[in-house]
Amino acid sequence: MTALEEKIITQFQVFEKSINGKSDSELHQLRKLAIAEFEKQGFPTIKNEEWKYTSVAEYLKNDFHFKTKKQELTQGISQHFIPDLEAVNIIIEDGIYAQTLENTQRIKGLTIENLASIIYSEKFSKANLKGYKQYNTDGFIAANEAFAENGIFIEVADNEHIELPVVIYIITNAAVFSQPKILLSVGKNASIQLVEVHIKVGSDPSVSNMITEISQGEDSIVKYAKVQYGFENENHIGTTQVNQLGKSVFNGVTLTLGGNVVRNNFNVCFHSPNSETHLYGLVLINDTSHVDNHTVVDHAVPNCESNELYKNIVDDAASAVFNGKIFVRKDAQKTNAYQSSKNILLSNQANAFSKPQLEIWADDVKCSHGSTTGQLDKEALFYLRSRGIGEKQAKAMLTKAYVNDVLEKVEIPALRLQLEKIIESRFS
Amino acid sequence: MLKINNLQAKIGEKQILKGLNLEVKAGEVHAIMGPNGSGKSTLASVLAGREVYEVTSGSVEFEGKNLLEFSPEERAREGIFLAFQYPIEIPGVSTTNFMKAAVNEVRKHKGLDTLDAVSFLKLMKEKMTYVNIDQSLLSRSLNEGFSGGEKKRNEIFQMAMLDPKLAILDETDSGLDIDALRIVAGGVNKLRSKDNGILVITHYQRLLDFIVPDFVHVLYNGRIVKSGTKELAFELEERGYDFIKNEVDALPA
Repeated sequence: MTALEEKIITQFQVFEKSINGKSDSELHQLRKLAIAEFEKQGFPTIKNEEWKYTSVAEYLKNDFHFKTKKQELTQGISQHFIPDLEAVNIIIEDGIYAQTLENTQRIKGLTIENLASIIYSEKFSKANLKGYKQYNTDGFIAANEAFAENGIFIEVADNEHIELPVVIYIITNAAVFSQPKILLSVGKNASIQLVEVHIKVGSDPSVSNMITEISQGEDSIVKYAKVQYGFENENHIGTTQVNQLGKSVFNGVTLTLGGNVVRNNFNVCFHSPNSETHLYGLVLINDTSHVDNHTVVDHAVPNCESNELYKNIVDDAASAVFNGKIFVRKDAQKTNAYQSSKNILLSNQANAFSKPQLEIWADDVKCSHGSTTGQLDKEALFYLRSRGIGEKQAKAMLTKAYVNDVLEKVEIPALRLQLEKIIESRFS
Repeated sequence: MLKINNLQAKIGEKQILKGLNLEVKAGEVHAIMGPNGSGKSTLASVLAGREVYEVTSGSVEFEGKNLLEFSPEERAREGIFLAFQYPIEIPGVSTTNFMKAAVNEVRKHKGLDTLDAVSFLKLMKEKMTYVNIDQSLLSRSLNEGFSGGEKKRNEIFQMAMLDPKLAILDETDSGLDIDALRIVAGGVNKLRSKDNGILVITHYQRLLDFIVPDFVHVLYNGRIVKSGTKELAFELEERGYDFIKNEVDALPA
């Protein structure tokens, strides 16, 4: 067992002592199962097939500390906010709910709660419905669940359409190991846009190990974006679990522009026929960044449609992973499932690993997957240069054009504009 | 303006140009004709700076400068323009978008101020009339879903925008019906002037009815083997390339 693994187990004992009177709760029984799982598995190594290309051993050698109480908010956080965006802004710092800023006047149908204050309530156990446990359970997920307490709970009531986007800024300070949880429960015939923005402060390594769970009722629509600008020594493991309980639509975009080691698990399960899900991903990295997107789309019921497009642009000695699983269960007839993973390597040292996995037990389905890896089109580059455009600018133009079909899925204009500017500045 | 002396170039291990000589003076239109595989497109590519071709010998002087030292973008800024035989499609990049960058790069090189959006649009509107091209086409992804005629018109539109000193038209007539050919040639003719040179590379005499050349050269097996005036083009059209091949092949090596 590594020093950090031991520290986590010791930390759990401390944590247990702090939860006076709740040790018999259902939640705490789950925590105990989770810590037992963690003790058994530890953090995943590259021997684990799901972590073959993503090594966390190196950064986990650092010494991290765990925050249990809300502290003074780090100054100057607002400089990282998405510019010119009117939104419900929520801050989680070091895993702990800090505050909800402006526009908090009650928006009809929207409930935002500090998770810690409702964690033992019925509200929580109802929202924590299906859980993550069916997929890829590993040491990170177990560790997060073992300490389940802090984070944010968001609920949209039936028939309510929340117009302002809800933006959660998840801030992790240097040397902190944080484990927040975001729960979003969307009622029947309701809709919301949720954005996670990941920010790291300071230069020493940090880890944010988080779980986002989204459950959707009948006829609901969720538009979700996860934004990772990429900070020095930022390490992240995030699992977004979407359960489409009723016939519903989910749109998810994951945008990753850097970081040390980043792992995004994205799991969607259809529980009700006639639902659809669209997952888009853009990874634009350089230096020695490593970014791994793992998706699982589970067609558990018939007549659903899923569509995935992930694009990686990898420069310098960076590396990107895409692993996409699609399950089409025995009864899931009339399933449409598409998956496409595309990679552009901008340097000789850049790496891209792409692994589609389709497991199909039904016979009346349409499924396809494709993966390409290449360089920027040399003919296109020559064409632009032959018009007088310098090589660097021509490459920037082609890269921007290449990422456009993912960027245009970002439905919040202010966010899209910000991302476009960041991408542009990468090349100038 | 352009002096090509004993130019030899290869792609991979294959020698394609084997000692080509050509001089184009300002105000002249030269046609290069020749059978398939004679090296016509290679010449166009070498002049534009396509990197897959390796120049093994000879020199190319453009306005007194050694052209072969320049990158493709530097050549364009110096005033060389290549109208592509097969204009490629670039999804996500519109003509308007990249032409604005291109025009301004060329202007910067000439020491001129860059154009703002309004002046650029004005210039564009003017040049669009040369080849009767629609603005909506120019704001779409470059050549994506364009017809053959639209692609070639777009090439000549770009040429009009960049106002080059030397334009190289690489089989601009290929894939065009007679109406499209007329429009494209009309656009080229508007750009003829006493200061510009034009190199028309073509397979057929047909284009030369519309863009009348001052000189016609026959390229065969990597060399210019015959030069003349526009009458040579008629002769080629009538007799085919075989008579040239026979003449050349009969010569002692």
